[in-house]
Amino acid sequence: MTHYLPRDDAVTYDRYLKRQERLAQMRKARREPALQRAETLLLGCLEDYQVMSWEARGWFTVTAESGTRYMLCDRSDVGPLILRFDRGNDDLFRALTGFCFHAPHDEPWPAADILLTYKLWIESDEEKFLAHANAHTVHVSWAVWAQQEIEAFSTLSDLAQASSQLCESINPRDRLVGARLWVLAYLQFWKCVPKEMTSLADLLDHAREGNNA
Amino acid sequence: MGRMQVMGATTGDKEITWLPDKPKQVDKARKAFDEHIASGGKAFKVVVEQVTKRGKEIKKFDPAAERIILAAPVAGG
Repeated sequence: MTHYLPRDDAVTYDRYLKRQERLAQMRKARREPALQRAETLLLGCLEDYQVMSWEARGWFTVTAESGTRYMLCDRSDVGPLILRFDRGNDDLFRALTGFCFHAPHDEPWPAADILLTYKLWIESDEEKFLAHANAHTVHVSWAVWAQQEIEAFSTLSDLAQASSQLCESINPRDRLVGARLWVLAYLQFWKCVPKEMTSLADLLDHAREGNNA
Repeated sequence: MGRMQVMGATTGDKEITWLPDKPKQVDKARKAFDEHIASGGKAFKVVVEQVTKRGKEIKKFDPAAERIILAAPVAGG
């Protein structure tokens, strides 16, 4: 009968962890040249103002021929992300729709490559781009999330207006339940709403109260 | 001189250059272009006008293009 002593387990596990760490470092080192080359390629195709934005904030905007603006960013947690800005009644641009894209999962493409592909595609043929994007999930919640990235989200009135417009234009394939949770989680994270809120209805009530005040 | 950059997942992009009056170089670039398109990839010509740089999708190899990007395959998420 074999007895496994806790000490041996700890030593084995420690070795396992060290090996995993070494492998992760090797993978990262192997990918580093590809990441650098992708970034160089992206920067070479951006205009000066886009380069400045990318280097300072990790995102840049692209204007399609229709005049619609898109924000392209790389988020370490979800990967490349594209947001469309729609002009509100007050002439302020608001990010209302988010698109998530990725390269095939079996190949870890650098985010800079993916973003450059979509920059070129948006500039080249926005309609096709949207047809492709809308055939997949549109994450409405990211509009709110993105607004945090651009400037501090200080009022919920934007969300209430955005929500009523979004409800009419939502793609039926949207994952609404997930979206609601995202909205709440991120607003709570950014301390825009009290933690007691547990539903989108609560959130919208809170927004309406804010508007009436 | 024309320049074509082929995006690559693991090694980064590869660059192929050609002189429009050198048929061998043009053929080599055209072959890489056609293979990329046949595999479902997208190709864009980078059009530089004054300070703007904009993409224009192309389906056929253009030997007169100054810069072509053979883009990464992407899908909605």
